[in-house]
Amino acid sequence: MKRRLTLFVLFALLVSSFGSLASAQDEVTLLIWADETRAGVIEELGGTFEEEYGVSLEVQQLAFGDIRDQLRIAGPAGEGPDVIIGAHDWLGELVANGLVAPVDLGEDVDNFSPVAIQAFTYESQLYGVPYAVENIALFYNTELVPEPPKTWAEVRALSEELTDADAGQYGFVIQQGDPYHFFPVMTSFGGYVFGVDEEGNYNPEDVGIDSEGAIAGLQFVVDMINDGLIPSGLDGNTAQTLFQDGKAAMYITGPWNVQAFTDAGTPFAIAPIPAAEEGGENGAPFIGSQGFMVSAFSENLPLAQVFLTEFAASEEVQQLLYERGGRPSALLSVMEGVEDPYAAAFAEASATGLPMPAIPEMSAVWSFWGDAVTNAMLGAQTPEEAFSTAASEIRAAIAGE
Amino acid sequence: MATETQNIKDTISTGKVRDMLTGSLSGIIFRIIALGIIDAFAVWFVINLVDNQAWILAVFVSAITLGINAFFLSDKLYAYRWFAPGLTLMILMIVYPTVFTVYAAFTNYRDGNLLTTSQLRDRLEPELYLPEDAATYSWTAFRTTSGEEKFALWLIPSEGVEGEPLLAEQGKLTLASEVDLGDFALDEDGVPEGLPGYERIRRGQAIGVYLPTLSGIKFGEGDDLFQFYPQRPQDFAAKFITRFEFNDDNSILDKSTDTLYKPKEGSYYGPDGEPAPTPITGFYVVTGFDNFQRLIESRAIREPFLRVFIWTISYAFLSVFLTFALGLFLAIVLNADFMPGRAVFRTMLLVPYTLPAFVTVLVWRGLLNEELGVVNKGFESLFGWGPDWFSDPLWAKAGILLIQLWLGFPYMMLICSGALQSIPRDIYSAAEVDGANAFQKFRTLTLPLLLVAVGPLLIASFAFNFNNFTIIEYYFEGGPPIPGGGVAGHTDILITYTYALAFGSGRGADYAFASTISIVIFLLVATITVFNFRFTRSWEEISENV
Repeated sequence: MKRRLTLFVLFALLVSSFGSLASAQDEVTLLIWADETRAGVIEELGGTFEEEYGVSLEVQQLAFGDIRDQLRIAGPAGEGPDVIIGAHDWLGELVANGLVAPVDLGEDVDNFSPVAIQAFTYESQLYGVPYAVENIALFYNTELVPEPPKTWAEVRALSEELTDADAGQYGFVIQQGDPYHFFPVMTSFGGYVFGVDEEGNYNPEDVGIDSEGAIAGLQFVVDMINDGLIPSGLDGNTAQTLFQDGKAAMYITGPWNVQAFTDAGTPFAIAPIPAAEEGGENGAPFIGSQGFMVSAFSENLPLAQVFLTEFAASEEVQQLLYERGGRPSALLSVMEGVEDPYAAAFAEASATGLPMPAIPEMSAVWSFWGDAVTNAMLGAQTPEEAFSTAASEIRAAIAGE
Repeated sequence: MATETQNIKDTISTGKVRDMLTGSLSGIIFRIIALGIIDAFAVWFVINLVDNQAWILAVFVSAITLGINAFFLSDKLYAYRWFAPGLTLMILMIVYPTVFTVYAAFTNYRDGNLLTTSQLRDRLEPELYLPEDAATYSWTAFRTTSGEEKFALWLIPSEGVEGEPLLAEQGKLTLASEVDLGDFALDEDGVPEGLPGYERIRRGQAIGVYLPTLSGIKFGEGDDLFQFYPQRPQDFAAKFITRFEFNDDNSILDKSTDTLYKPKEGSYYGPDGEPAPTPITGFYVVTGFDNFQRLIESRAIREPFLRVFIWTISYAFLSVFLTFALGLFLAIVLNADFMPGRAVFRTMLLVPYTLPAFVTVLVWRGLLNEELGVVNKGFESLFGWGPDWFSDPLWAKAGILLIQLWLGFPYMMLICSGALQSIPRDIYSAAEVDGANAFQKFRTLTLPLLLVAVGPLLIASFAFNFNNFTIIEYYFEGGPPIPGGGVAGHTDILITYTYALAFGSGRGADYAFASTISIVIFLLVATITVFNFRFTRSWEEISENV
């Protein structure tokens, strides 16, 4: 028995010695969660920041999507990062869960693309320093279509001319049931997803899926499918392959496919989304933005804020982020020095663009909206039926029924 | 020889009575150190868990640690030490998640209510606000040169702000013009190079090294307390006021608007019932049977449920039936002595089994593509028509079963081959004497005897397919959609339907509701399995009579 007592005493000693080791103070470190490309940039340029402020930066590399999922668990537990890289459309969820803290760019805010700032603004409060904006645009095969179409009527006329279903040759193609790529078509006809209040915030009470313009846009695409001008049942990969192989002359996609088309030798150029009629406004693509955000559970919150406003917002960092990431920069001065014709074309297409809604209600919209587009394209419902059912289901889901 | 045997016997018998207290000294020390490390880690872990109000996990970790200690310190339980790693993993990986899932089903653990009350306090405590008429100042930090480490701020009003420069020490506020500068002079910005008893901190250092300390200090005296502006600490300090005050009943007072927010089932509401603004979020609480009630009462969930349930059962049953039929057929063929090159065929047929299912599904999706897929190109050139694998509900289901068949038959072939070889050959001779033909032999001998052996595996396979998320989700995400059918699609099974409900319902991720449906699915699968086992008992009677 005595022996056992000694053992317990020994344990107690060991435990306490480990405990004191763990509580030893270490120097100030900022932990940053970033994806592979961004992690490289921060590690490369972080030295100047470390030197100036005498802190060390630790960059942890995660898959882009994992950053959001891990933050919900690690952040509140006090094990999370101080700064994260993320997409603006996570904001609704991150703010609702109290995971990110507001950011103040002061006067520097004017150096950024207004739409990127708008994207990172949630409930009239800025939550991040954006570094990239991206949007989709109309890609056209320059051998098949010498001049980009200005209106959807021209798109249809070109398709009628080019389509030869037996040879697998098509004019304009669009993937089925993908609301993100369908949105610009719908907006050129005047459709919308959520209305906007005076301050530019999306209003979840005003659902525009069943608006006249949205239905007209869907009707236009469905008519083309029914007339055999667009193959039905296309998925994203197939549509991309068709365009890449020159089997489709026009296709709506984003900067991520530029490299693939260039490598494949597809002769292509990029134009804004066509308008509904001559002189009308071009279709609005969704604009996505990526940026730096501060974890609200950071133990070095003030320092993390300094990192954002002094480091992430600096031109040097933004320049390298642009060069490595390949997406148009959110910092205006970086874009001024860019000579890439594609980047300029995407920027032109983004002129009418709208930030992708970040409000949590959007998650209900995606699935019902996508299903409605699929149903209409498959002919299971007319465009009007499909969108009015979807809109009522979305309204019910938002109301929590 | 005799002495050697004796030696071994001695070792065995001493081994029986030996426990750690009488073992070799180095062995005891090693064990104590190892146990000490485990305990130290566990204590640190549990303290953290309790701090984060993760009670359930804290209890589990404590219990495991106590168990491990008991195994290694008690003579009676010492034999269990071999179990310790396995038991630990089982408790942490199986028992704990199960208990937590059940617990979560009775809470409101979802987006907007992810935090515990203490996490919410941690989140809101640093929030400050600036009264509208308050002045902002740029700052320079000073540190005491000797004695206790204390700091001071030299404050200069920001551009366009009226006010006088100030010196704010910890517990003292002086007008800059009244400060005795001693030997130090003001630089061009109006900041002294140093102060009596203080040294000036270089700006970079003030931010990098001292900011965590400085931003926790309130400089000045009485009501005139200066703090850094949380969003741009490098630029401004001002008389910020702590924004939130917590009461014991978990209600929160927002001092910037003087509004009291009271929690109701973990979410905060203002005096007029309006939801609290950001950054106030909810916390999670036990809400009882709310989630179950919602499952039963919600029209959007209930209506597609039966339809999804029927397809789930048919899908699981057909998957097992089809793969088993094909697997058995191939096993019998490859079991026949007259087949040449059996080993080669058998190996080749196992290939689908070795590929990851999600890759296979993606490949098949390409093959079945209605426009460009090889399958439909073949169909069209032969018949001038191809099935709509994705747009037609029935063909979509057929496509899923086809992929399932391709993926699953090698497994069935494998287990049937094994079972076939264990059936005694002589009973077939007996049957031949009785004049049975090949089909009769298969129906009355092979099949029943085979089912005795593979029956439990078929049931397991059924239960597995009941929750086969991968194939359904990767094939078409449960589509094609049912017009007006809510989030359910024609090929959705319960588990993919759950996923769509819990994560695409317009309220973000709803873990509590997902847990609730998981429990219901578990009850369904368990019931079906119990009946299945009853059913297989009848086969066992057959085997007893052989």
